[in-house]
Order: sequence, then C-alpha cells, then structure tokens
Amino acid sequence: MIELTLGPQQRLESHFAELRRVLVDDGKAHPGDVERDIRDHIQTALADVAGPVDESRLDQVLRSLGAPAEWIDSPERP
Amino acid sequence: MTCKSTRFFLRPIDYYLLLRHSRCMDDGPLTNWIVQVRKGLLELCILNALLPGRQYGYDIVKQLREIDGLMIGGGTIYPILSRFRTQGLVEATIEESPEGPARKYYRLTTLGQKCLIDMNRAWDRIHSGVLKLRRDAT
Repeated sequence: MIELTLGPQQRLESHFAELRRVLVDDGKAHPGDVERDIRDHIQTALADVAGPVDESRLDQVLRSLGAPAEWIDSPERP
Repeated sequence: MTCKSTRFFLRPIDYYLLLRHSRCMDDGPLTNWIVQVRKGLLELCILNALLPGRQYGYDIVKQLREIDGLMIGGGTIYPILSRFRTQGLVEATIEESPEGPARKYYRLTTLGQKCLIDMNRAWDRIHSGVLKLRRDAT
C-alpha cells in the first residue's frame, strides 16, 4: 500500500472528486468501477516508491492518466 | 508590414502565437478527425489486448501505449472497460496478488469474443479499402 503525505492525499482526493463528477455527468460508465481501477493503477505505478510518495511523483502518474474530462466522449466539434 | 518584417520584429513566442491563430495553421478539422478515429480504434485495441487472456488494467495501458498516437491519457481505457462490462463484452474478477493488494483482471466474454471477430473483420475491410484507394491514387 502506498503512503501519501497530506498534500498528495488532497491532490488525489480532488482528482477522484473530478473523476466522479465527470462520470456521473456522462452517465455511460460506472463511476465506482472506474475509481477502483484508477486507484489500482496508481497503486501499481507507485508500488516501487519507498516511503511516502511526494507530490511530483504523484503528479507524474496523474498526468500519464490524463484529466478525467478527456476520458469521456466529447461532443463532436462543428 | 510584410510577414518577413513582422517576423523580424516579433519575439519568437509572439510569432508562433500569430501563426497558431492564423488560418494557415488552423488544425481544427484534423484534430477532430484524429479524435474520432482514435475513439473507435481504442475500443478495438482494448478488446484485442484481451484476446490472449485475462489482463490487469495497468498492463493493458502499457500495451496500448506502445501504439504511437492511439492514447492521450492512460485513464481513457477505464470508462471504456466499465462500459464493456455493462454491455457484457468483458467480465472482471478480483484476484489476490503477491505484489500487493488484490487486483482486478478483465477477460473477454463469449459475446466479447464474437463481437471482436466481427470488429476485426470490419476493420480489415475498411483498412484494405483505404490502402487500395491510396494505391490507385498514386
């Protein structure tokens, strides 16, 4: 299990709040399923970090995942 | 003022911004086309990644990252997997992992396998048709 200090923990929770908001609005995927998958993904990506995960390392993983708003089908531009 | 003299007097960033917002570098239609193509192909690629057997989400992302330009953010696959589950194309199982917490593995259902065969056939037809069109044009 990864260890997070307060800053990264808050950053992560804000990411999940955004994820839930986007997926509830979209209505196509199950937000609980996706959140569980993303938590697993982050856990695996940071498994090799010894000690608490710092903000820049967490940011690197979140950047590689992309913003939740980019994951869903966006309306086609004219 | 000509373009050449503008270039001379502007800082590089200003010149870039001028070009970026001018008609000659308007990439809107291209970007939109890439987004649409990528969207359909990503679904096809996720199902193909599951063809050999069960896969962990993290490993699917790693495999798809090998395909240049297919995926912008790795998180994109998870809402698709969730939708595939609802559609009955994949199923998920939680399995203990020696490396840490239990992991969720995805596998194709029988319906998913049948659907994938049809999708691959459709893609092959379209792809070979486009190649033929390009060959004929040269």
